[in-house]
Amino acid sequence: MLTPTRELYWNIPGHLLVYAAFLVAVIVFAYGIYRRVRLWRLGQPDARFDQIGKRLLVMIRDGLAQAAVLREKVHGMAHMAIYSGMIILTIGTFLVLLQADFNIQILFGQFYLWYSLVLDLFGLIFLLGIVFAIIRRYIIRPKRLNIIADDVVILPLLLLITITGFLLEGARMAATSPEWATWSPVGNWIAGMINTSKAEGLHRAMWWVHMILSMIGIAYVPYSKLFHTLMMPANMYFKSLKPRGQLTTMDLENSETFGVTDIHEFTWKQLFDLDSCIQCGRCQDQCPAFNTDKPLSPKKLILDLQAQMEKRGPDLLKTKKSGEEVIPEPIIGDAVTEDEMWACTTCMACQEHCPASIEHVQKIVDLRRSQVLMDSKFPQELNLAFKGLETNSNPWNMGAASRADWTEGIEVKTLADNPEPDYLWFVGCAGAFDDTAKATSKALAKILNAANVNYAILGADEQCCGDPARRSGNEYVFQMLAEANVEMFKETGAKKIITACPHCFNVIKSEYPQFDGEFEVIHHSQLIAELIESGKLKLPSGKLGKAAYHDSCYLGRYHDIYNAPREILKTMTDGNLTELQHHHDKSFCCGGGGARMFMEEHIGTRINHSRIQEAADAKVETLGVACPFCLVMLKDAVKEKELEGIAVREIAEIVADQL
Amino acid sequence: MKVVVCVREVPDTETYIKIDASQKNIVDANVTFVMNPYDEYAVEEALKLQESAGAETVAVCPGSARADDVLRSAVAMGVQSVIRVNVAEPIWDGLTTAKLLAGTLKEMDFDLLILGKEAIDDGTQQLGPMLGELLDLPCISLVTKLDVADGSVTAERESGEGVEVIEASTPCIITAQKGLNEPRYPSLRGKMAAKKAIIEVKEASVGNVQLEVTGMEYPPARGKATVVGEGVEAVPELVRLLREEAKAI
Repeated sequence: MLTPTRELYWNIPGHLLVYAAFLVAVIVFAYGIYRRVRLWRLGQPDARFDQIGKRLLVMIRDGLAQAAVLREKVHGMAHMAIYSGMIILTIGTFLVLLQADFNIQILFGQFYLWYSLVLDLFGLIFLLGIVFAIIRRYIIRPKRLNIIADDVVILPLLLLITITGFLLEGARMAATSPEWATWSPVGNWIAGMINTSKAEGLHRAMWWVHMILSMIGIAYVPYSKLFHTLMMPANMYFKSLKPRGQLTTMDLENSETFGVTDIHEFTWKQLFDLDSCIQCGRCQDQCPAFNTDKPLSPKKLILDLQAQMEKRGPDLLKTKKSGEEVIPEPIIGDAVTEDEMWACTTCMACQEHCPASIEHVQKIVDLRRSQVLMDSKFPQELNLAFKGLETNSNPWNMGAASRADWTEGIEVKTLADNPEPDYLWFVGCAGAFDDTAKATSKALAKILNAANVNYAILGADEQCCGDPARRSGNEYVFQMLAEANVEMFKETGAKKIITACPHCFNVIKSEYPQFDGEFEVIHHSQLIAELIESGKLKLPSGKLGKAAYHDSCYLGRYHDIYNAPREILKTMTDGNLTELQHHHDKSFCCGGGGARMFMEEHIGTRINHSRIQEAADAKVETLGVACPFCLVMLKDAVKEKELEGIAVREIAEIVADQL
Repeated sequence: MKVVVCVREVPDTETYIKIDASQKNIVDANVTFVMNPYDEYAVEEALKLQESAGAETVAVCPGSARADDVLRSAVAMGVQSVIRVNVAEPIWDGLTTAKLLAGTLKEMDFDLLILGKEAIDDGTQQLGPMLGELLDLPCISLVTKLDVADGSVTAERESGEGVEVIEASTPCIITAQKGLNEPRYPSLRGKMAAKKAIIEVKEASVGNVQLEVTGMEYPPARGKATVVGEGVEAVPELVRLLREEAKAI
């Protein structure tokens, strides 16, 4: 037997033209990249060049291993087919380059046979992936995919490149009939259908078509969705390594402008994000605002901002060069509407499911910041919340002195009673002022007393954690509150803070470190689960009927706390727990996050109604929640929809009932 | 055009009020003082004229140094300059306050003076009309709509029967009723400017106080509410209680 190999550029006179074509492709490619880089550089500085090792790991996990894409099984696998096919075929081409141009002889013998087999099979896998994608986009047409001009080019282009590749392989094999033909099963199968006398001609024609189409493909990358093959891993590399969802802090004393009014006021990374979007629509699928007919779609938001960047680009580049003053063109009212911006509940579902690691929420808050801090424009209902936060340190504008009134008639230790507690209990505004949520506070007091936990509350000295202010864009009020609370915590010497509100939990844990406040923060669900596990709390089993747990966004997606509340409920349901249609990282917001708790919901259907319908559909008797906003929103939904038989209950109340 | 607004500090509506040992005053400690809510309408109306007609705006406030916060709030909203008429003790007599302010206002040569219709702490509604008398100017009180033309104003006020439309020549005095406008939330630039604002302090002598508060007491405690029940089943019991106990039907 001959040594298995093949003659490179067999049957192709003038093959050196490939270098000229490649050079052209590279120039067009480089120019395309340069055009985008210029736009990103219009943005503000953002330090994303630190911690190289950690960033590489994130890129490998989310990008190379496709962890994010594979969260959707079927589409994820189809993407995996195209992705792995493309990588293997690129490596294969690279090996040809090594042999042809660097004279490293590798494509012979046993290695060549395996090389032939692997490339042949991955070519087939790639082809199947492309065919699946074509059927899905052009025939099935799911709502989240729209067809833009680019889509009419890319998939057919890739399909043609693959088909011509197989045809030229088949033609070559038909003409040369190698002994080892079975190592290229697809090529061999095609070869069988080709008339040997015409094989050489066909081979030569297909070779040139395949080569030119491939070069077009390379050149087209930075001008099309194919750009995602570079942008997405790069964007993962630059992903925020801060606590998830932590919003940037602002220098209020020394800034001239606040938030983002015009597109170039975003950071370069935020502009980079815009070019990383592949328009898959996973964000939109998960968005509670979009799914209840609000004008917001996270996908549309990113694409509209990208269009705005392209529209403003030439002018901004000109002023940047000449040093003239920029005449701002506000984004709000042009590329993005006020209603879109205010519809966001900051639930983080879009960001969680974005395979490109795009950071949507910060952008929305940046736009809100400019509206609130520069123009004083915001939904009128927030006026009362802001005033309340400023004068009475709570968004309901109840008298600050009445903050501890909920403790009347029950045993709750204050810092005055117990100056050296193990845990400082940060009650939060909802738990202190809202009648529905006060019941949670009372229940938690009962639990803590029963388990002999050494705790104390701040009483009237506590102030709002600042979450509604920060997430509605009022950074000024947020910083005022955060600084006051950090100072207060430090005065008390508190190390561990318990809170029953996921919003307080998130802000104190993830955002107070920006104000020099590092504390161990424990959500009451974690503490209660621990008390049950250690036997300090004994609960009768099987007390609840059919129960489910509604994930709070700020516990689940923000902090990966999915199990503690479920474990608590399970102790009382003999280990059984139903899941609603949306749960864990795909859970559906109650509608109260992002200061939406304090705004009216005028547009579309109500988010809380949509969510409670899931509980009704699952025929749940008890819906456990672990957040005062969820509690209020979902209880209201039960009342408004007149759903009988669903009890929305805070987990602490459920537990306290059994004591 | 020059528009002057008079503002005052009052305890925040949500504050717990405690009466002091003398029974003639309230305990100031732990009380949050804010701009009188009706004065916010006055400030907003002045700012609208500042923006639409280029009016010069000045806010005047009687009070101790503590009242500076209220003047800073006015600056944060957008008022151009602020004056505090220094008085150490709160004055409960409307006429004394009016005379105290009239001295300062007389020298200010304004076209329009706007005040809240009343301060929510004493609720007398006296200051506007009294200033009209002392300064010899027309005063339209409880205004819910205001149009300012060259040399005159047209104001609407709601009476029990309908709407009165009143015209007056400037200079004149307006007192603002709820509904006149929606007071703005200060921008951050405004708040930062307010921190650095220069407050002009004018000394004025408090004249002869002719009215004295002789005592304060708390309102009677509210009765308890009872939830009779829910739904249709609760109706008979509710009717029984309304008839037999409340004697309302």
